[in-house]
Amino acid sequence: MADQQDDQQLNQLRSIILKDDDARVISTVKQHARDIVSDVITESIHDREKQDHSISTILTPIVENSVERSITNQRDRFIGYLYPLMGSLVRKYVSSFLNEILEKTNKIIENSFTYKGLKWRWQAKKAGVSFAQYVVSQTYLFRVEQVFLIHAETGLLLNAVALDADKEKDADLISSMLSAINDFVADSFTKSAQNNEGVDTIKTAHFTLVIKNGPLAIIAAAVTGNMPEEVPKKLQYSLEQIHQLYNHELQNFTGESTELANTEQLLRDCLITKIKSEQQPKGKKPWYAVIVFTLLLGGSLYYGLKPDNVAQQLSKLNDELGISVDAIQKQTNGYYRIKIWRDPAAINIKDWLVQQNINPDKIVISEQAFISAEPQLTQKKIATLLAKYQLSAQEKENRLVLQGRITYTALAELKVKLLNLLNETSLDTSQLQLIDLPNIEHDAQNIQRALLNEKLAQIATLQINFARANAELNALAKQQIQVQAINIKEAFKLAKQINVKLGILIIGTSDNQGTKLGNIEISKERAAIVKAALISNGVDATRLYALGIGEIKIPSVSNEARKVIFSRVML
Amino acid sequence: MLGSSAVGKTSLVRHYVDGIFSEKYLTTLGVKIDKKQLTVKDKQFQFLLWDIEGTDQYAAFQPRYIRGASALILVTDCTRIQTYIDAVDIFKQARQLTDVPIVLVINKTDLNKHWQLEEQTLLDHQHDFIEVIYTSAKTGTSVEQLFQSIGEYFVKHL
Repeated sequence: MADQQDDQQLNQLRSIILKDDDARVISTVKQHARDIVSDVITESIHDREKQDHSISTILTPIVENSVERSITNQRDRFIGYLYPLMGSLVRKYVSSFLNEILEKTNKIIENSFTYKGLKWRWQAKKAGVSFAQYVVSQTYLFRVEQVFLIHAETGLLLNAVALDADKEKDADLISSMLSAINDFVADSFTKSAQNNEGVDTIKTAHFTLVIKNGPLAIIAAAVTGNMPEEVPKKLQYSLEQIHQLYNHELQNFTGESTELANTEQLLRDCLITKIKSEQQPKGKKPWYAVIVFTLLLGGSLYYGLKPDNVAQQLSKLNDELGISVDAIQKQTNGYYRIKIWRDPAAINIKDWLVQQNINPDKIVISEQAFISAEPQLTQKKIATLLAKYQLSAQEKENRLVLQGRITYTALAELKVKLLNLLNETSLDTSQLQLIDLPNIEHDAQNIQRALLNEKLAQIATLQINFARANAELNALAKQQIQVQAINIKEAFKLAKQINVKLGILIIGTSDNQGTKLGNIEISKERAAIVKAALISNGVDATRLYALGIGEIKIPSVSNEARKVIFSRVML
Repeated sequence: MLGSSAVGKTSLVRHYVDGIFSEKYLTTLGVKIDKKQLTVKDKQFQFLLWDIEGTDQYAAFQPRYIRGASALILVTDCTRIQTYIDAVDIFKQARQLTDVPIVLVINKTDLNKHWQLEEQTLLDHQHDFIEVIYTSAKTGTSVEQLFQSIGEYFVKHL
């Protein structure tokens, strides 16, 4: 009431003062209303909202209505905007759901104590993966043979890639037929006109066809073997990427597929093949030997059950120094596949086969390197090393006493190498005659520096290899990273002792397949994953620098350079 | 390629196209796809030919199958006037979905003609069809010309 009275009084006062000018004042204000309001509108809205929240109350239904109207009128456009976003949200949810399932499966399987269960459990432990993951890897052996990218509107082929180049020639016909099948299913089995979902998978006895439908394009893949969940996921991911990167080209497609030629890399990424890795490890730590000895025991028991002359002969390789047989398999064509662990100082396998009168051409050898801890082989290695430095040695009370003349730096080098073979406590260098007597303090630093250099060289020689278009760590890579983490931690310690600020560059590379941008991305991803693994192995995160450099333009290696390499940086 | 059943759509192209799919797809899926490559005035064309199953009643066809088509071939049989009546019906339905060029084919000209288009009708249709072609799947008369005329249309209009 008081307010109303005030207003009335104010109006009376205004009419007394302004009299006939009232209308003029109002019209002048109206003329400038836009400027006046625009000067203060933001602040006013802010103030009023703060005061009583009335702005948001009024705006909410207006915004809701506008959004609803835009979505109704431009449904396709909204789908286009939201498609990549929704995909990743759904994927995130699905992957967490699957993880949960995997965990549950893990528990169930862990309780199974069948022969196979126990064997796989052991293999999983050896490979450093969870039992459930190992079971999955054993169950899913597959190959994505061919991938098609199809224009949703016309059914025309936009791009296709195949493992076997012969298959690419009829891709355009197949793609049209696939979209016809997709349409057929969508029309025949979906009830509402709004629902445009087509086929998801088609299974035959020999292969599975996976189809992912997007608003503008369809991706289809022919998969042989047991298809794991990662294939549809990868297809979905590539499809979303293609929608995001080539939205304009897809919207305005006139039948000219050259504009979409660059989608090839994204499609190639889907040509996933699950094969067993046969990479050569370069680790230098003796714990491989421990695994090998136990494997040897299990392996010989297992293969001992199958009498076979050549196999029996081959299993004698186990008696050789620094060699452990992991598996011997007879192939259907009469060949033998033999998987062994071999110390670089051990006898050459081909030479051994010749000595045993076994035709080396009939044996397919897959060899992995390790450092054997067998005392005889170690002695042999020590003897070779000492000969190189022209030193001799005597064994006294379980200690190796070195004798001879050597320079201070050479001794530092030799010590690093020897300590890979024996404990520091079992090495006695007191009887060595040093040629250049050192300034103790200065040379203590030199030794540390030499040790650091040796460590850094060791760090630089290790490379982590990756599968094509993949940034996941395999079992070998995980072991290598454990070794590398120890190396890096030691290097940091040594650097600290001589007041050097040391950082490690983790450099991801890629092969020369596919687009430059994609290659840089994947190389970054590789570096990042290695960095994360090193950190989880206890390496100081602040001194690790991950970067991806894409492909390496050296002709002889560019095709295979899917690696992470290491380098030092002095800070 | 649209038209009533048994007007000879499949036979019309059988010897003139490259295909890998068997004709059983027509009855199961209602469509079979073949490929036709040709050169018209130094321009390379590749047609993906969707042979769509004909029906006897209601001149019905699967609208999804003509989605995204660049041209339509409407086939009739000169021994059955009903096929022409159906074709006009199909034409009207197709025009509601697409405005791509359409060729009218009058097939089986090796047999006695029971009907043919009068001059006036042809004039009436001159804006509807880019070409009206009399063909024989049996003797091969004018089948290549059919594809040529579609190619020429695109050379002229694109």
